[in-house]
Amino acid sequence: MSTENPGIRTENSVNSITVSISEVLHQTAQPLTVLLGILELALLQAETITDYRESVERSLFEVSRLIDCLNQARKIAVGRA
Amino acid sequence: MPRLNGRRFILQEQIAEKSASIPSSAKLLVAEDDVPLAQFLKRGLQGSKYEVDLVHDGEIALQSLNTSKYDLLVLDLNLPKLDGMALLAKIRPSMPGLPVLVLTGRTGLEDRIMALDQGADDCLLKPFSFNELGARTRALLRRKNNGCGRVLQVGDLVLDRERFMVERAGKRIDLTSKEFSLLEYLMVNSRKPVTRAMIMENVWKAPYDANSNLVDVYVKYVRDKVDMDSPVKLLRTIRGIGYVVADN
Repeated sequence: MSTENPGIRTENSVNSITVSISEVLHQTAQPLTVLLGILELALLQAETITDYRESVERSLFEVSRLIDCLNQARKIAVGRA
Repeated sequence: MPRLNGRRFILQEQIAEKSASIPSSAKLLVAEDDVPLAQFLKRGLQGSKYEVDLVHDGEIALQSLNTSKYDLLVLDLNLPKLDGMALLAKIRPSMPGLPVLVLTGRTGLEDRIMALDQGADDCLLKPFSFNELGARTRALLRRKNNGCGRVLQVGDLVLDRERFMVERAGKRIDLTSKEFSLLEYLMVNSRKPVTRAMIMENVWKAPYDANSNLVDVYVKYVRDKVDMDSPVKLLRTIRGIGYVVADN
């Protein structure tokens, strides 16, 4: 039989969820920064359709990274429920 | 190109002009572990005509800083092997003049305060605007060149700290060691009036004595050499305050 205090176990579990959410939020900031930057630079520098197309493709890659972050957050939420 | 509403479009145009007008021969080290973000920063900063090296962990960042000379470090705090805060602590004693722009994804105010106290010059919270990163980079490089850089310039007066050389309109001016230090102090504080007490404390490292005219005598020596042959007088007296070096 475990001698661990159930109160402490709950607290540890909450801390672990908080750390995970914090980590996912941190990961979200990276693709958001790139996405924002790609769009800013497209407005400033893109001149041809090819330039814009490249910006769109790179934006899509960053959106896929954002979706990964969202899915990780969902998993944490499901685990918590 | 799609036109946005007037004001936003003007802002973008102004940013483009600023970016294009930088004399960007500066060499930057970007230390960022997220590879897509690091590559984006490299590409974007290269687009502003900077030379950019990229590293993805703190240990390699430290090696690069010890083997190459950089004008600015863009440093992510969350680096593997040696984190950004530890890297700052290691480099600050030997590289006090290196401008460091910290990037952090941690929203806590404490992280940013700690980074600034540890020796960072500026801090950006992710996600940040690339235009803002560009503007902050320009500001840090400008400050470095004005305050701690090798060469100080006010109008056509140039002072080279490493070569111990002063020129006005391309013509060499010979100064004694103390005159050089005095002019350097005035130029570091260009456009800001400095008092006799400030000059005494910073150039002579001695307390100001109101009965002594030492500062005025040396200012006259410097002024005679710097301004004598030029119609534009750069070293001016501010009555009741002290002196200023300015080009307008």
